[in-house]
Amino acid sequence: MTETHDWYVEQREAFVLLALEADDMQTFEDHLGRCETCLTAVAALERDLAPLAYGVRPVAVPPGMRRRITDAVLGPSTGRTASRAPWLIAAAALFAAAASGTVAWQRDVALRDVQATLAAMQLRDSTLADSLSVMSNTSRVMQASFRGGDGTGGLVVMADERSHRWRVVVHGPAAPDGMSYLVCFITPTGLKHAVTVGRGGTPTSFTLGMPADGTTVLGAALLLQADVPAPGAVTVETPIAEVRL
Amino acid sequence: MTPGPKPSADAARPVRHRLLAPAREAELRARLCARDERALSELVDVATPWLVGLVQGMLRDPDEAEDVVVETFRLAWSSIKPAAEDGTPLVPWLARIARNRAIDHLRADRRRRVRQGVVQRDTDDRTGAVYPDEAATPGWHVHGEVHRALAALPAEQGTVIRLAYFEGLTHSEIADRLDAPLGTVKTRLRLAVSKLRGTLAALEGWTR
Repeated sequence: MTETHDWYVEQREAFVLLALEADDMQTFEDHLGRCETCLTAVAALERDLAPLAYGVRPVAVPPGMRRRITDAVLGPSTGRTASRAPWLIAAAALFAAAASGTVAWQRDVALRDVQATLAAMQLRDSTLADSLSVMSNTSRVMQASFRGGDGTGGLVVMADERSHRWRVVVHGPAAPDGMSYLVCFITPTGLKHAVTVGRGGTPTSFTLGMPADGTTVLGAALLLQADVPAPGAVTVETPIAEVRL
Repeated sequence: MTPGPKPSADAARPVRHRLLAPAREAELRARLCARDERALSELVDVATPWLVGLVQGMLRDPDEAEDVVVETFRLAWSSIKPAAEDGTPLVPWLARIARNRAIDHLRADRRRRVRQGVVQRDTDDRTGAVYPDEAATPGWHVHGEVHRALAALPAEQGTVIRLAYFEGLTHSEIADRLDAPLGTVKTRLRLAVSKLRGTLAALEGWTR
């Protein structure tokens, strides 16, 4: 290796891309500490090539990772992000409504409203808790993408192998009129309908239990089918995307 | 009475689309320097899909990639500087830290494999789940521009850039992979960077 400045000039691009061998990398870094010209040139290269960071496709963030990051940076999250539970807020509102009501019927109406709100919130909370439970216990993530209509789509399955439930995300271009996406279990004897997702167009996610009859499940398939098959119409039975355990 | 400031076009966009606008970027950086924990959460939301994609592509191991991304944020939190001292946009800055860490892992792993006589795995099984709403991810339009710029390169130059940047290979590793002379690889890399610079530098306001 020559120690002339030309060598450093030739290595600038490789340094910015981190493509130099370890020894050369160290030599170049040492040089940057005493060469303003190279320092300026490298800074300009880094600035111009910065958009390369967006050259990969973004990836769905693994369940629980956001919390892992904040815990690693800020320490365990006890109390940091805790917010009041919605049911507590509703209970406080109920108490306030009961305490401040001056007319009995007004209080009864308010009471019923708050009770209905509370019930809806509890239902939402339990649904959310259930979803989060599956996602946080995910032991395996499977995904498949597909091209259809005027765009691309994907099927993501987060499998909680402990509770034998899946969190499924389906996203695809809007299905043609009269058609819907459906998710099927792949079983040793063929496809078994699991859930009809709808027309697509926006991401849909849901929690799915395994078949109640104990059928062995090998994976999941996404299909596009006619809502009401016309007489004589050919039913599309070829999955457009599938994932296997 | 003096009229109030006219709302900017950015202000009318949904929050997720304006997270990387220059003003927002500067504000986020200032709050990170001030140790605002919410700013950290916002940065995690914006950057993590890109960082996980980048590092998984390099390491091909989701668990190891996750460790690298966590470590990246830890390092970033402890070393972030005001814009006056470091003008690199936040996501590319994080990507550089992440690539550095991923390359450390890759090269340590290669040394271990060489010591153990393990044949290097060369598969293309991307393990990450594609972001279900990727087109709405802040920075997605830049992704398209970068792909167009890469696609415009001569094939052999595009290949060396991909191997160097997205797979973290050194000059000599690229030469081995392509069975090409080392000097040829160096020349292709320099030519490719020169062309990419011209294209990417022309992306006006690409952090928007």
